[in-house]
Amino acid sequence: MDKNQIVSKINRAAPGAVLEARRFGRSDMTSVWIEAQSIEKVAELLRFDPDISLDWLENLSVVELDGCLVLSYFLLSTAHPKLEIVVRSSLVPDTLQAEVEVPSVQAVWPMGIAMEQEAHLLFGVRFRASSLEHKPKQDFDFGRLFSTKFPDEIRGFPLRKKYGK
Amino acid sequence: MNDSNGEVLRTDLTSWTIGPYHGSLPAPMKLCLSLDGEIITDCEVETGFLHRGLEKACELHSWKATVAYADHLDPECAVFGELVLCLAVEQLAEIEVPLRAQCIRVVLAELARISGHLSFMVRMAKAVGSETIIHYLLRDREKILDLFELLTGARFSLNFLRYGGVSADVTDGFIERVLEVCELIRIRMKEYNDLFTFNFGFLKRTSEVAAISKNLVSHCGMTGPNARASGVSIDVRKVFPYSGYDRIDFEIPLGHGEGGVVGDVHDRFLIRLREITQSMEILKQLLDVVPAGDYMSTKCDQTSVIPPGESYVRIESSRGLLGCHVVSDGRNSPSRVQFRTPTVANLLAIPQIVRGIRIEDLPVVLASLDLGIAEADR
Amino acid sequence: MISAENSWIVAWGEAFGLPEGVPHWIYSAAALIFIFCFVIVPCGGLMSYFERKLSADLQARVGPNRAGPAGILQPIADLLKLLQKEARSEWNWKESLWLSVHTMALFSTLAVLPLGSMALLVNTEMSVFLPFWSALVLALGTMLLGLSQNSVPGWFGGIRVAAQTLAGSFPALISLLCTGVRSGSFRWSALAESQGFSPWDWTVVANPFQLVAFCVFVVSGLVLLAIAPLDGGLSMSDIHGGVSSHLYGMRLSLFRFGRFYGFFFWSVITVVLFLGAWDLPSQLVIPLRMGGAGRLLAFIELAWLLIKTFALMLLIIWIAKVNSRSRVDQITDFAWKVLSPFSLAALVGASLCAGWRAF
Repeated sequence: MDKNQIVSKINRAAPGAVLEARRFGRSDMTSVWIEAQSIEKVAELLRFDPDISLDWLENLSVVELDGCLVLSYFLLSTAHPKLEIVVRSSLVPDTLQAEVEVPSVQAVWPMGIAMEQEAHLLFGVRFRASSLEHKPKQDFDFGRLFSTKFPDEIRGFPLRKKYGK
Repeated sequence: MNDSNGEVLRTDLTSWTIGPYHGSLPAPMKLCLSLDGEIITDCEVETGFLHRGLEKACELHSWKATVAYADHLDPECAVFGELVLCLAVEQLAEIEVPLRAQCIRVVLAELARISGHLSFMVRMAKAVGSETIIHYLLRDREKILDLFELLTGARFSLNFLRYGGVSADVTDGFIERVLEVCELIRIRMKEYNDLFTFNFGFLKRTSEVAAISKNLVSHCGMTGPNARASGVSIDVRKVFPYSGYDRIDFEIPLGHGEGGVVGDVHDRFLIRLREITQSMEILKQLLDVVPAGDYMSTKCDQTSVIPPGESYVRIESSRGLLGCHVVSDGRNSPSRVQFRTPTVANLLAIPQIVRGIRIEDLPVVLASLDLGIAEADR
Repeated sequence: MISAENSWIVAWGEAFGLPEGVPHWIYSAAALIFIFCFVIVPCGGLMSYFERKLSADLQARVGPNRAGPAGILQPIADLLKLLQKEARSEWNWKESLWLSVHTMALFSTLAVLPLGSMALLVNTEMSVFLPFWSALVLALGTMLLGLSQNSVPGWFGGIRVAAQTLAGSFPALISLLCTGVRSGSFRWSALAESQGFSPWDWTVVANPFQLVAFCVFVVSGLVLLAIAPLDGGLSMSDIHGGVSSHLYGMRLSLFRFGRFYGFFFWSVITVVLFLGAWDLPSQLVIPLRMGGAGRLLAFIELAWLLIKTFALMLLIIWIAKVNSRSRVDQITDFAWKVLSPFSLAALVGASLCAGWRAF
């Protein structure tokens, strides 16, 4: 399954979501830029399509570039070990310290719980609960059992560029 | 037993908060346990106590300093942090690393892996209450730290790798000493097995305790020896080889349930013992033929500018899959350095793992997960 | 009234300058204090030194080597340090109450401690069982000490100690009976006389059932008194010592000394019951007795008894240092499911052997 096939599948499942597909940095990985709010549909396709089956959210990284927050979802597949893809979206906060909101992918990739909490603490990216009609079966429910906290004195989002200024 | 309105013996669920400091915890973290007698029915994990702002600090200082910060990511196995950062920056800036430098890096990485696994065994022994083996293991780990000191000048936080290679060549006699230490640890392994691994008391404490199913592994995204002990075979060195691992012949041990259940504490312990053996194998193969050449890329030095761009690299640290996402905008300091650390997945899985075990098993289980809270909290 | 049996106390008292006609209880009290200060506490000190040096040797370390030559004065240094610890400002009356019960139960056994043929304060048919009962009272005191603390480690520690003691008491008692079956009486003097100086005369090798009884007795003693390696009730790793997690300063030293004393008296009793007591070769004993050097004989017997006791204690400490601790439920399972049947089998076998000899 090469990148063009994946992109066309995404286009069919979530029309209008894909903005661009290009090489990630100088590596062999593909990065697919999508519309931020359509991450849920894309995630569902990438996880549950049997030919793609990217079932590991390896990393969710948030970067602030020129005032926008870029989310990168690094995906791996246990069924196709050499397949790796980055799904990226960008959001612009209204003011420098405002929160942004994006759908959560916890229902698709439960391992994202910790990563999303961290993104919220450090960057102020709020992940709203999934509105997928068909939520996949969860064996373990521990969204409420894991939390990362900062000391109370910290206000705002520390990893933003203009924090403290 | 104590109630403010008279003495009533409570027999319902007790709640007990352990942390941030407690003998059974490897590092500051909080566990709120719900206990039914001695059995843990529920557990909430709270972390963030060791947040040091590493990633932000990298953005505020130069590229040179970032290596020193990366090295403090996991103070126990410092090499892996440096390695992943250097590989990421080299991919970003398209810097070619000479073969000799790659060899030295892998030697340091495997020595750090052995040292990390020895520390793991020390924590397990302390949790189980075997005091003698702790000192033997630490004594042997000292030999590895002496090797680090010989090569880099520091025992724990080495600050030795640079973008494009390493900062100094190997000294005379280093290779022979590494091979001596390998031989010593090979002999000692047998001693540890006789004294500790197959000790009846230790087996009783660790067999069939807190087995992690494959389902939980893929649910939480656990990697590294914890996942391999449950039978899920993932090793970055085989799937996405880096730094010459594709030219080395080694095996990935998997857990087979010799203690009774696949993925129990005993399996996690045995797997790390076997990984030490595999690391020694790798070291022997590498040091057989050390490529001659530069220890540092001649095309770049530490003052050259890292061009704009980004990269993401993953390596296999002693705890699991360690990834680093680096973004540069051409200035003197990084725009973003983000680390993906393996312990976060282990922390996520803790509430499920400790459900149903006894309080006395808790230190053993937490030690068996090899939690590196410093890298989880960054 | 002073009976003929313990008129030796009067002899001791005279030797130390106490006037005649003093009531008997003063003699007993003086003897107890004397034994505590000059036998038990020095033994505690010596034992702590040997334990530290032994564990250091096992663990490839050096051990105490600063206080005095080869660190021999380390126990004195520790004692001085403990004596100057600060007392706590607030007072938990429950803790004080149960700590005193705990201490009294423990040190009341001083009276029963068999330290030589001429140093037996209580030499009756019940002598063997008194320490055993005081171990049970000790467990009660420890349990309530734990429950009186306002914290989870204390509660769990208390309950675990109670569970362990209950589990260990049954096999301990049954294997205790085996020795009496062999010697025909439970008096300390009778038990000592039925054995001899040479190891072939000791109870433990008299027949295989006595050997089993010996092993069960030692192990169930460890379970009963929560001694390492079977000290799950006082586990350091998860409940920070359980009952002792909220004690500090003098109370903690008192508690710890009590633990040492429990270990010590169990070992002394084991040696007296199974390992030949204080018996010395008759070529040594008779001349000393005839020559009127009774007190010298008493010291030599005491020294021999203590040497054997220390050897046994160091052996157990060695095993504890090298092996891992067992979990409390594993210990109680072991006591109920393994030790108890073995002790019963040993009792039956020992009785049969004794009956056989009587024919």
